[in-house]
Amino acid sequence: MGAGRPDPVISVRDLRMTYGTQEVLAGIDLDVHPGEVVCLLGPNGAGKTTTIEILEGFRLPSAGQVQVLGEDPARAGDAWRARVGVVLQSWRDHARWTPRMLLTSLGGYFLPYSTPERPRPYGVDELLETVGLIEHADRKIGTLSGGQRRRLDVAVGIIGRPELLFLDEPTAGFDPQARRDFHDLVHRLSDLEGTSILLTTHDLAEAEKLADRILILTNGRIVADGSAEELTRQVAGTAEVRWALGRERFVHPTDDVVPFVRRLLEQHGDALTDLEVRKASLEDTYLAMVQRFEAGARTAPALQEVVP
Amino acid sequence: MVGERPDGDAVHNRIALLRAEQGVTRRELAEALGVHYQTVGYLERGEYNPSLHLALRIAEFFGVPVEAVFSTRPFPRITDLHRPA
Repeated sequence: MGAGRPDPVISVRDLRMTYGTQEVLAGIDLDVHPGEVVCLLGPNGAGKTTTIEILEGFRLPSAGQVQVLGEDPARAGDAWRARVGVVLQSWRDHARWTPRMLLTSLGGYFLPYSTPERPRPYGVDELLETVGLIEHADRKIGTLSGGQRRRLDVAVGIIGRPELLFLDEPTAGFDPQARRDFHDLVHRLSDLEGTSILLTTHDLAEAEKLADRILILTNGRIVADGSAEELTRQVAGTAEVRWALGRERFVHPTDDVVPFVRRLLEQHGDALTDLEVRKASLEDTYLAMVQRFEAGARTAPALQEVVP
Repeated sequence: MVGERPDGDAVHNRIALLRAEQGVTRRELAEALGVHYQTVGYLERGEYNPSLHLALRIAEFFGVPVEAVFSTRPFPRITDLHRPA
């Protein structure tokens, strides 16, 4: 947080988006710093995909300042686009190509933008290995499973060794192993390549594992910004203490965990055979925050009506 | 039904019955008590005993005395109550 921090790769101020009379984004501020993995969470229709599409330059905002890798995405040229990777929610074409053909062809477009520090594109075999598609490199894309197809989407998104990567629900339809492999890939990109990543997901466990910082978007506003740990502390709530005395198991909800556990140890001593404290999960926190803000949005006008 | 445990410390409960009778979901009960959703299931099946404080709050929630919810002996089945002696 010092003054010497490098410029953010994404900087957004008072971003607004209106479709007709419907306000989808109601003034968003956000920064993403180099090498950071930031996760955008929110219910369906909260404005996540709209936000990402504006940052990618695929959609023009109604108002606000947007800087991505130092440029306005709406006006930036091909050199800028070569530095940005995009994995959309889904795209289904090139069914008769093979992954190797598609990646070789797309990779060619990045050659003019290769630099000694950032050779572009990735080697196709290296990339196929990285996303776990090397055995299927020469199969027709139309015959790949949903999860394999999604891995190919990710490969297409990172073929140009992007400095900034957008991932829109990247693991939808993945089995647990594919999900774990994908998480390893994201960690490799951010830790070893210094890639900054902005992703959306509905999987809160995934957000908790991947993100340095989580932003919760609801009703077109960012209502929370912090690490999973910080967000969970904000909605402190009740913890649950579970313990066992031999075969008997007990449970007690409490706001004062430490005094309760201390009394438990004093009272039972060695008879205590198991002890567990369960705090609110990120899911509990997320649901509490979204409910709080959605309830606020609903009740505020109703209250105004009854006030004389 | 669950057999009597050898240690004889089993606590029987009617949480599931009261919940069904009053039309309360597990989630609603969990939120009212400040416990996890799954914990309500553990309590109903007797896998966990509530602390004394939690037991009192459960009884309070249903608006019945605590002995109507918890007992050291199995609760009689309703069909048994109406069977001629």
